[in-house]
Amino acid sequence: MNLKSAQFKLQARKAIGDADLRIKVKKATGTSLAKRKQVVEELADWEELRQKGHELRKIVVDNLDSYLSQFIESARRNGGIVHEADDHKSAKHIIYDIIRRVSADTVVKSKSMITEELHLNSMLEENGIRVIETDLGEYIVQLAGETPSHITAPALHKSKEDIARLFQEKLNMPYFDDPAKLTAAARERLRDEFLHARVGISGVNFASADTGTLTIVENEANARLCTILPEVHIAVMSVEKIIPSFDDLPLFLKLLTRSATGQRITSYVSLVNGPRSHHNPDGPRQLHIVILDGGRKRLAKHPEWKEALYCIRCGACMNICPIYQSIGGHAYGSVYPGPIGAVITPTLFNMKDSQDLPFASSLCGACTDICPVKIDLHHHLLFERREIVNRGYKSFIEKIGMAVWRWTMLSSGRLEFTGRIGWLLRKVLGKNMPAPGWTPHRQFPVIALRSFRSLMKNDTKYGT
Amino acid sequence: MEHKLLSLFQSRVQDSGGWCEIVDSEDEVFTTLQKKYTFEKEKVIVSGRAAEQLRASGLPGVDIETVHPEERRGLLTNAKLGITLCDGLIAETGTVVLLNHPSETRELSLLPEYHVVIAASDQLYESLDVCLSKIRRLYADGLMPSITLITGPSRTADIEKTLVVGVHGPREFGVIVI
Repeated sequence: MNLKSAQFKLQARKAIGDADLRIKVKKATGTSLAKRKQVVEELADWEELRQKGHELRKIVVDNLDSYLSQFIESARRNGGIVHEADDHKSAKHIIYDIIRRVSADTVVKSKSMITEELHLNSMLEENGIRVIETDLGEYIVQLAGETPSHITAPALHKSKEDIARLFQEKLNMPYFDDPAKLTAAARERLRDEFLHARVGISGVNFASADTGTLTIVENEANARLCTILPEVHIAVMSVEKIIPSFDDLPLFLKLLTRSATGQRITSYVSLVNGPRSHHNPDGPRQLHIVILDGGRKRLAKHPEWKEALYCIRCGACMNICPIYQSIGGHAYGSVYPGPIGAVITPTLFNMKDSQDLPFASSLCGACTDICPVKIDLHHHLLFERREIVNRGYKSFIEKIGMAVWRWTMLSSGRLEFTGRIGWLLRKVLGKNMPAPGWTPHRQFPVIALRSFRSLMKNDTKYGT
Repeated sequence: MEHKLLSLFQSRVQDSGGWCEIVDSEDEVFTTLQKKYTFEKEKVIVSGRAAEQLRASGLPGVDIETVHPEERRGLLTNAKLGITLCDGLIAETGTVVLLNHPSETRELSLLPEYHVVIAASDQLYESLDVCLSKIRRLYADGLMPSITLITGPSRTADIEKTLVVGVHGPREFGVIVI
């Protein structure tokens, strides 16, 4: 897979220079965090819920094969048609084939990260099928010809003025920058598409192994329209979306919606238990469930990386990450940005191309603290850094630098000596003392003549 | 206890942007709706099971079951108000639980401009856990129908995190608890 992550440093530099973008991202992530805090703090047992969520996700990932076959059996019993896809190419082929067989030329689609990962839309469009994203944020991003910059708020990088200009240009309507009016315009344009489309594509938030229930979480009702009105519903999921039981749904819904949007529950939660049965007045005639592996079964066997599969895609780690807040989602160059993206992208897709992502972290651990299923995110970022170095992806100069650093740090005498040299250089060169990658943006701080260690040793005020 | 749960439910529905009225009997359903909306009879569409239950209360509206299946979608998308019953209320979140019922198309809670649910106070559960496990037990021997959880009107915050109510689904959502 080609990743734009290879240009991370360049993209991040550009994003940091974009003051407008920073204001938009800070505002959006700040709002989400404040709302989350309110509904998380009202639960006395939030920490226990996180722990329980973690344990259940671990059980599924540790026994992925058996849960997968249990889910497939349950889903088939419900009347669903299950397709397993080993890789991206075959998943796309399966989906295209289903659409072709019912001779549909238009597909309505609700938000799904897996289809983003597949780059499904471009493949379908190349084959002459109109794909209409119906989630408002995704619709905006699709009109702009861009990709989502956040997994739950795709158009987070756009201001209402940006969107007003976009609608004016693409939808031939007068300029107004009122979110309510812009939303109404999208509703009006999409309603007809819903009524006439013969195929609807959705993602899946949770798939219960014991009952085969597909759970789809949303606020706008576009996913309900996509999964109820068309004759054919294609639900696309990856293998790790499985949870053990129908009975675990209340727990995971609580963890997901409170973390993602700060809601106790979203406006709509659809629990799909199969296609239309003979006595139902509505629903699709066919329910296809496409299950993507795409390298996940391999990850599930790795003692460290398997934890990345616990993720329930709430996006809270992005909202709280100081790096994400400063550069937004596009700079990461991956479908999955932010801390979880920096963990998933190298392990699931291509480590060489995304080797800079795990380094785009201050390792402050805020992501770990906020994760609703307790993924030890900053530990994994550190672990991946080590892996990247071990694979020899770092430059020769960086290796020499690190060797010198190590040699210095291993002896207190050498460290003391280096400190003195630093003090002297700073004294002579002043605040313009050059340090590559740092001083172009900041001033070099003053270095103390005496180190903390020597103060400890000699000064009774600090000594023991 | 039951009274406390009911007022929690009411306040949670309001938190989610919906309205909730508690009435003493079925007779008051129509008058409650009249206070909220001015509407023409043909713009009110009632589900089969709601029509059956509310026939005596004088509630006007078209019983969806009497409409030809091919005309239903057009009728519903132009309708002002869709009225359904439900299969459970969740106090903790202000949620209404709907099973995919043979005489109650899900399009009724989806296509019209407003959606109103008529419920009974004995349908109230403290939490989603209790309600879902009861539904599961009910269908232990057969296939469980699809379930929809509805909390407030359809909404989005995709533009600058500004809350806008009424996206692709109903713009208003209300519950009348008898």
